[in-house]
Amino acid sequence: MKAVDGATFTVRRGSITSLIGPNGAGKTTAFNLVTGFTRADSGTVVFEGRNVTRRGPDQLARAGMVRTFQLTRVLGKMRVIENAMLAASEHPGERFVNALVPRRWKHREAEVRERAMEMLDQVGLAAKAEDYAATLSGGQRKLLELARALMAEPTLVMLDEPMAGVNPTLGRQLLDYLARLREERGLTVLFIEHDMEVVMGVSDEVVVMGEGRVITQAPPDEVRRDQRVIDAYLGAAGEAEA
Amino acid sequence: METFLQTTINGLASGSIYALGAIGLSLVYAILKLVNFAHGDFMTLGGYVAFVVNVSLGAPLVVAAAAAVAAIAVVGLITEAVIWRPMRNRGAGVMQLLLLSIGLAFVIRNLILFGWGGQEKRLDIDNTRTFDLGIVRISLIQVIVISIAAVVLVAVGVMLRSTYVGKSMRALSDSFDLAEVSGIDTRRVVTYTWVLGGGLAGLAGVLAGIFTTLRPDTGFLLLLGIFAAVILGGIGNPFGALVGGIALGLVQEWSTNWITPTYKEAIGFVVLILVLLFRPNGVLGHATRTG
Amino acid sequence: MDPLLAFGFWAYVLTVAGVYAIFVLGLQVQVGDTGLLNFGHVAFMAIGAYSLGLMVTNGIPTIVAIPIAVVLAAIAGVLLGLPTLRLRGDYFAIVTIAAGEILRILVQNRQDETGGTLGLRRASGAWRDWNDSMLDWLDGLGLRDLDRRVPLLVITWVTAVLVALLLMHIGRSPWRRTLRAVRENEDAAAAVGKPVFRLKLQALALGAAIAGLAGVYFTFLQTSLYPENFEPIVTFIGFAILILGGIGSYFGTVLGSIVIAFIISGVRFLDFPIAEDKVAALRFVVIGLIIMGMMAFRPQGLFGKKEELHLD
Repeated sequence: MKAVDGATFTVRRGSITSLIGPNGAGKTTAFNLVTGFTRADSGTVVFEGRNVTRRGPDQLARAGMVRTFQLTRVLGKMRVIENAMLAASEHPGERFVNALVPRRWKHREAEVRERAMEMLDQVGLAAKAEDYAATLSGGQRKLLELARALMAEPTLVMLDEPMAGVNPTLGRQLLDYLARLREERGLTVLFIEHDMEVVMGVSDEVVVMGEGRVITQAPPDEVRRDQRVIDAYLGAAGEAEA
Repeated sequence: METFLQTTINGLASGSIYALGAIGLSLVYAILKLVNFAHGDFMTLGGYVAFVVNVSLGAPLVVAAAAAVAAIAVVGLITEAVIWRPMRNRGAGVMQLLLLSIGLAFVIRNLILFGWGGQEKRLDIDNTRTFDLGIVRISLIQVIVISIAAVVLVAVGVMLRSTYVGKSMRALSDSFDLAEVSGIDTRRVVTYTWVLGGGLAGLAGVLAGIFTTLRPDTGFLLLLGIFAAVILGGIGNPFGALVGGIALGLVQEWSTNWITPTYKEAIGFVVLILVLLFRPNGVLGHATRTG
Repeated sequence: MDPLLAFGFWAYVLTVAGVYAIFVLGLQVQVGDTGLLNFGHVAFMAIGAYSLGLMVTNGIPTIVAIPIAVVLAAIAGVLLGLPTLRLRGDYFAIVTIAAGEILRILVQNRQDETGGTLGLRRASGAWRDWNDSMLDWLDGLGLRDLDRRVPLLVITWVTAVLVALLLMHIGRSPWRRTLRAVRENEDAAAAVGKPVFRLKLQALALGAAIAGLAGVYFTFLQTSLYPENFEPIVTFIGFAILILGGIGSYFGTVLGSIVIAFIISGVRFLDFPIAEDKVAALRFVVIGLIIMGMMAFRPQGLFGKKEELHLD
């Protein structure tokens, strides 16, 4: 069975692109295929001009493509701050040979801790830093995942329904924050979202999927008027009612 | 050709025992997410129940076998009521249950050792009679083991395929939660699972006792092979477990045509590892992603 | 014999406990830190023990053979891990037991090289001479008529404590943080760029090396090696210790080893009004009940942290 077939889309560097579509359209599957969590039968993934199709998820993440999960995967038996610190890139203390020699990584570790605190502060979790992540609510877990993804200093961050369960005011702030990161660091954002107001408000481009295919990719205004998009949503809704 | 046929018969006999053990293990594994390391010791216990009825009390072997099947089905139900259900209700993890079953295995095996001692026990059966079929010889016990296993395995297969309980079991092994919301009485199916899995384990223990001799570690020594059979067949697939068990028995016996028989067991494990290298979900398993 | 006065006997039991402590510290790295359910751990101890034994019986100096034996155990960890670490947890558990059994059956069958079931004699090499010189040295210090078993007892426990301290030291590193992440959720670790497979391989190899070291001390203790010393039950006893002391707790490992070693080797010398083989059976019933009771009522063990326990 094919969940995604013939879905081609492009995410422009430095853009905020959203991926939308009715339930079962293959959005999360597309994420899994691109980030290497699911092996594709065919097709290619090109990232920053290089073909990265067969790379593993950890390799892609180190190359700068970092994702979050729709069903959050926070590390509940670790503290919130440890969850964030884990994501730091290029940490010499994470190498086995250095583990015994703290002076080779003490400095970087302090740096990472500081940055992790800043990041937690940014998503409003600073007060929870020393708690076990298992004690967080659903919305807080989403936030922690976002913080963790950004800790990895990605060039492309892929967020699977980052706003689900997050309170709208905070959600708004986070979107602003992402927009700021784009201005400052050229961060590229691709996100899956159901809230059309959010999608139309922040996206430069919208990719619409339906039944495993990409229906269209266009700026928000065009997508809004596209009859095929309306059909896709109405079709899915019709089936759901039937 | 002769030796090939001879080893095939031997392989079918030992494979039958693996298969009987494997189906029960696979069902419990699939439906209750329990990797039951005590399953081999359930088998041993079945063998000893048969020994008591058959040798100590002097009843016919058929009666003894029936008693063993019933006894282990009950043991399965008792462990479900006393251990597994309460643990599941407390949200125990897969590893937690697995480790617990290792403890249970220690207890059963050593209570058997405590009760009957470490010496070998024999069931009351003539293990010297053989039939000469021209090119191959088949012993009475091989005939018994293969034919009982064949009848039971076919019956179980039919039951899983066509009865309501069997279909419910297969539904539960696909998704416990989904089966529950679709109105299947999961508790009843779990009961049948233990009756079937335990009963088959008891029978496998009796056949193992007929085939060789009984010792407190008879079942434990078979357990790894049974796990191999379950994995070869793809976890959660009782038919796969059946095929895996027979295949394992055959491969082990066939290997004796080229390699010293003392390596027989090791060959089974080598096959298991090789299969997993190329098909990480078993030969008949469907590819599922975990997590 | 009055067991409480038989110092030599208690020295033996405690040395067994020390060997188990080292063995289980290796398991802690794999199971506790990384979540690798290695049920074939005894195989690494066997590789340490038989490598040492085979080298010293073939004329390689003991002092050279020891580090090689440990390294060989680590290499075995890598070789086992390369094909198997991609498997799901329960399959990995079964495959590791299977690999351990393949090794044991191999050792049993290669009688010409390993002695097979007849045993590999004089496997401890120069240990006896070292032991004598240490006793002489202690004698010179005024510690006269010490039991012959004392030097090994002391050295085994010093090693166990050093290994535990080393692991605690490593335990504070970011490296172990990545292991814990892998244990809890491989996908989450991979999604932020942690090399999951390599980390698992490192943990398996480190644990294997530690088990290899346990094999070296086991060889010193027993002097002859038999395949039946390395049956899967040894791994399971290791798990009993791990569970009793607490998954993730190095201190718990040390205490658990003493308790379990006492139950296995110690109770033999207490007077019970029943036959000896019955007592033997009851020992393991008790160990089984400990495992069950702990898993049911205190899965974090005596000293583990409940909040950090991961048994899914």
